[in-house]
Amino acid sequence: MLNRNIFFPSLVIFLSLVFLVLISQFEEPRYQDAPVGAGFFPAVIAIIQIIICSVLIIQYKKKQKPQKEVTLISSHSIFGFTFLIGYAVLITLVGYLPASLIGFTYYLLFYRVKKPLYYVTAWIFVFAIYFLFSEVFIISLPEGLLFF
Amino acid sequence: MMEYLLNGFADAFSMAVFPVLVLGVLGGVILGALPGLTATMGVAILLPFTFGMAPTPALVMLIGVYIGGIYGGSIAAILLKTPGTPASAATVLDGHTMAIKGLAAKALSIAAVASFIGGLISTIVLIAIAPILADFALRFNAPEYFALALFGLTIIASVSAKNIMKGLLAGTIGLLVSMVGLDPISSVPRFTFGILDLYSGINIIPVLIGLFAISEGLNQLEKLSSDKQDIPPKFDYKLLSFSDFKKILPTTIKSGLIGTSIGSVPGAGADISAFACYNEAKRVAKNPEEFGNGSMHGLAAAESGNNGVTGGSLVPLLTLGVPGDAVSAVLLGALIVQGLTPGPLLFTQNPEIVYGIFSSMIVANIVMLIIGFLGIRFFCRIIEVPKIIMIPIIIFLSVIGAYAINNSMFDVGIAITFGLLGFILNKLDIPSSPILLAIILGPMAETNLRKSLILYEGSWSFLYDRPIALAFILFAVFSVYSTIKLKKKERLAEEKK
Amino acid sequence: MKKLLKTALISAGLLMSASSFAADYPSKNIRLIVPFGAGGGTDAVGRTLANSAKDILGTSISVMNRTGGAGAVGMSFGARQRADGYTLTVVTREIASLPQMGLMQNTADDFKLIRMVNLDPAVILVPADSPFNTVNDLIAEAKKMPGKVKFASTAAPNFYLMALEQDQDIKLNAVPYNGSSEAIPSVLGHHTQVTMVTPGEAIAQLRSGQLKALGVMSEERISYIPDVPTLKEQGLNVTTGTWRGIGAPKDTPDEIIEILGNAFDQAMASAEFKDFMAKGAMTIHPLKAQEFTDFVKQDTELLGKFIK
Repeated sequence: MLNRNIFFPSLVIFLSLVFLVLISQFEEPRYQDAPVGAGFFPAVIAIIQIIICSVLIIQYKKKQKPQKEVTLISSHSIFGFTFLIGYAVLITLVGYLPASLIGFTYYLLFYRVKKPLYYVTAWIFVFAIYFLFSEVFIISLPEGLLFF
Repeated sequence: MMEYLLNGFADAFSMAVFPVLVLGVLGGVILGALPGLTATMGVAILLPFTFGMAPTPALVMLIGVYIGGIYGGSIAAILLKTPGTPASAATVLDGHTMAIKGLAAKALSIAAVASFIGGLISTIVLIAIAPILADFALRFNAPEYFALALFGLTIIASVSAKNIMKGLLAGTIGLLVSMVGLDPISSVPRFTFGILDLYSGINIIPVLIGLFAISEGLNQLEKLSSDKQDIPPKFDYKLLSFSDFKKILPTTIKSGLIGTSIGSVPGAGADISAFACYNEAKRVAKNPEEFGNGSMHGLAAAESGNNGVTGGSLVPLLTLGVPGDAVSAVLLGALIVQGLTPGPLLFTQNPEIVYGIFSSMIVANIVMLIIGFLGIRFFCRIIEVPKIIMIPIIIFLSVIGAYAINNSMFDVGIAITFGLLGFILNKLDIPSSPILLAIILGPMAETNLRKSLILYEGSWSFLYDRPIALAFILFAVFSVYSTIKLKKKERLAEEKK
Repeated sequence: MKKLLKTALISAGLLMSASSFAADYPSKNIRLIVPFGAGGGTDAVGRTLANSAKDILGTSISVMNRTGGAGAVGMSFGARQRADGYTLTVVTREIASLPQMGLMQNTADDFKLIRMVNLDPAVILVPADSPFNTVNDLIAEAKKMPGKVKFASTAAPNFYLMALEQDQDIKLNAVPYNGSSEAIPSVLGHHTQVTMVTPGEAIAQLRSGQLKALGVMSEERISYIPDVPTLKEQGLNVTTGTWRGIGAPKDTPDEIIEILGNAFDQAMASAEFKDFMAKGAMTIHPLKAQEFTDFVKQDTELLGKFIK
C-alpha cells in the first residue's frame, strides 16, 4: 500500500488543482465593483496549499525515518463510521426518539454489554435529551419521514 | 455613579432579580456545555419571555445566560474534549490534557477562577472606560479588521503542535472550507456544486462538533477494545492551590484585558479572543513547550480571554447603540422592546438601567464562580462514567447538537464528514484547531481586504497608513517570527536529547 | 417480500403525512429565515412579528439569520425549502432587484407572498460634525469630486443610492458593508462620509445627536423624525425606501397560506407589535397576499427600468 505520508499530501495537491480549475470557471458577476474578485482568495489559498503539500512530501522523503505506524483504520473505526452514518439515516427515516433507542440498544448489543443498568441508563439518557430539547429549549428534534 | 452602582447591587440581590439571575447563569452553563447549543441561541430563545418582564430582571437574565454560556462551554471541553462553543476550542488544548493526566478537578477550578477574573476585569473596564473603548472600536474599519484577521491567522503556527507545515495545511483546508458558498461581496457561487444548502456557506458549529466531538468519539471507540487501552488516571480531587493561583494570576489578568479590547470591537468575539490570549500567553511563557501538554497558563489564558469578551461586547451597544456581536444584538432588541434607546442617551436618561446591568454582571460572574466550584465534584463524575456508555452519549449529543443549530439534517452530514476528516487528520498528526481558526478568520480576512480595496479605490496603502491596521500587521509579522524562533529552540533542545 | 413491505410502509407513511398536512397545521415549530444580520431592521421586524404570531398560531417561531449576497443567500435558501409551511422567509425589496442583476436565481415568483409588513423610507445620514448640512451640499460635493465621496452601503448594489445617483447624475464610491450595524459605525468613525438607512436603524444615533439627517426620501415627513425635511422639500424629486413582507416557498398549500395570513394580520394588529414598531421608528404597512404580490410586481418593473 502507498505510504500515507505521501499519499495524503498528493491527494490534497490533486484536489487543489481541481479547485483551481473550478475557480477559473466561477461565474462573472454582472455587478462587480471590487478590484479583487471572487476567485482571488481561493486561488491564492489553493496555490499555497500545493506548496505546503510539496514541502511536506519533501520533508518526509528527506527524513525517511522508519516510523512506527498506527493503523489508519481498524475494524472498530469502521464500526464507528457505519454506526454514525446508520444513525443519521435512521433519524431521517424514523425520527430522533426511535432512532436513538434502536441505535443505542444495537450499540450495547454489538459490544456484548450484559449489565442491565447500562441499558436503562441509555434509555433514560435518550428520553432526558428529548425532554430537554423539546420541552425546555423548544427546539424540535428530527421527526423522520415515516411517522411522527 | 457609585450611588447607582450600589442601588444596582441592591437590585441584583432583590427577590425579583436574584433568582432570575441564578437561573440565567445556570441555564447558560448547561446550554454552553451541550454541543451545538450556544449562548447566542440561549439568549435568542429567552428574548420573547422578557417582553413581559420589568427591564432590569429581563436584561439581567439575558446577561446571566450569556456569561454562564461562555463558561459552560469549557466544562465539556476539559472533560470530554468536546467544546460546546467555538469559544472553548482553545480550552481543549491544555484543559483536556490536564484532565487526561488526572487533574480534571484542578483544570475545572482553574477554568472557573480564570473565567471569573476575566469576566470581572471586563466588567470593571466597561464601567470605568466604556467611552474610551468606544472610541477605539470606532477606529476599526475594513483595513483594521483585515489586519486583525491576518494576525489571528498567524496563531495557526503557534497552535500547530509538532510540525508547522502540517498546521498550515490544516489552516489552508479551513480557509478553503470557509470560501464555500455565495461570495459575500459579489454573490458569485463558489464551490457550491449547485447544492442549495451550501449557498450560505458551511456553518462553523457542525464543523466544530465534527472535528472535536465526533472524531474524539471515533477515537475512543477504537481504543475501547485494543490492547493499549488507556489506564484510567489516578483521580486527583485537588483544586488549584494558592501558589498555582499566584502563578496564573498575571496571565489571567492580561488575558482579561485583551479579551475586553477584542470584545469591544464589533464583529470580533470570544472565539478569536480565546485563541489570541492563548497565543500571547505562549509567546511570553518561560516554558512554551508546556503549552498543549497541560499548561495551567494556557488554560487560564483561554478561559479568561473568552469570558473577558462579555463586558467588552457591551461597549458598542451601550455607547454607540450598535450591537457588537450576536448576543448584544439580542440585548439591543430587549432594550428597544422595553422602550429604551440604546446608545449614549441611555447613560443620561436611564442610568439606573445601565448601572443595573453593570452590577448584575458583577454578581453574575460571582454566581458563575460559585456554580463552577460547587459543580466540580459533580462534573468530575462524568469522567468516571465507563467509556463504553460515554462514547455513544457523546456521539448522540453531537448528532443532535449539529441538527439543533439550524434544524437541518444537512448540518448533521457536515458534522459527520468533518468527524471522519478529523479522525483521519489525527492519524496523520495534522492538528484540527487550525481548521477551526481558519474558518472563523478566513471570511473576515477576505471580505475586509476587498472592502478596504474599494474604500481605497484599489490602492493598498491602507496596509501602512492606518496606525491600528499597521500595528496588527506588525504583530502578525512578530508573531510569525517568534514562533519560528520558538520552534528552532525546541528542535535544538530535542537534538540535544 | 421484505422490500415490498418496506415500500408499502414508506408510501403509507407518506400518504398519512400528506393527508394530515393542513388539518393539524402547525404541529411543530416554524422557522423564519431572516436574510440579514442579527441586530438590523429586517431582523428586528422578523423577530417581533414572530413573537406576536407565535401565540396566535400556537407554535413557536424560531428566527434564523442567513446573511450574505445582499440578502440573496437567505432568500434563495428560503425559496428552496420544503413547501410545508414550516419554513417562512422575510422577503425584502432585494427579491425585486437582485434577480434582474443576475445576482440571484430565485425571484418573487418562487415565493407565495403572504403579507407585506412594513414600508420604510431611506434617510440620508452624515456624522454630526460633517460639513454637509443639506442634500444639496452633498450633491455639490459629489459633482465636484465624482466617485470620491465615500458612501457606506448597507448592501451592494444600493438602490437608495442609485435612485439619487441617477436622478442627479452623480457617482459616489459605494463600500459594501454587511447591513446598517456595520455601516453606521463606519460613518460614526469617519471612515465613510455618508450612508442611507431607514429611520428605525438609526433612531438611537439620531436621538443622541451622533448622526445628522440630511433628508428623508419619502413623500411626506415621517412622524418619528418630524424635524427632518423630505428631499422633495429640498427640490429633489426622489423617493425611495424599502419594504418587508413574509413569504413561503411557492408550492405551499393555499390553506396553510390562509392560516398564516390570518395569523400575521392579527399579529400586525397586536398592541405588542404596534408598540414595538413605534418604539423602533418603523412604519407598519399591511398588505394582503394579492395586493402584496401586485406591489412586488410593480416594484420589480420599476427597478428593472432603473437597472437598464
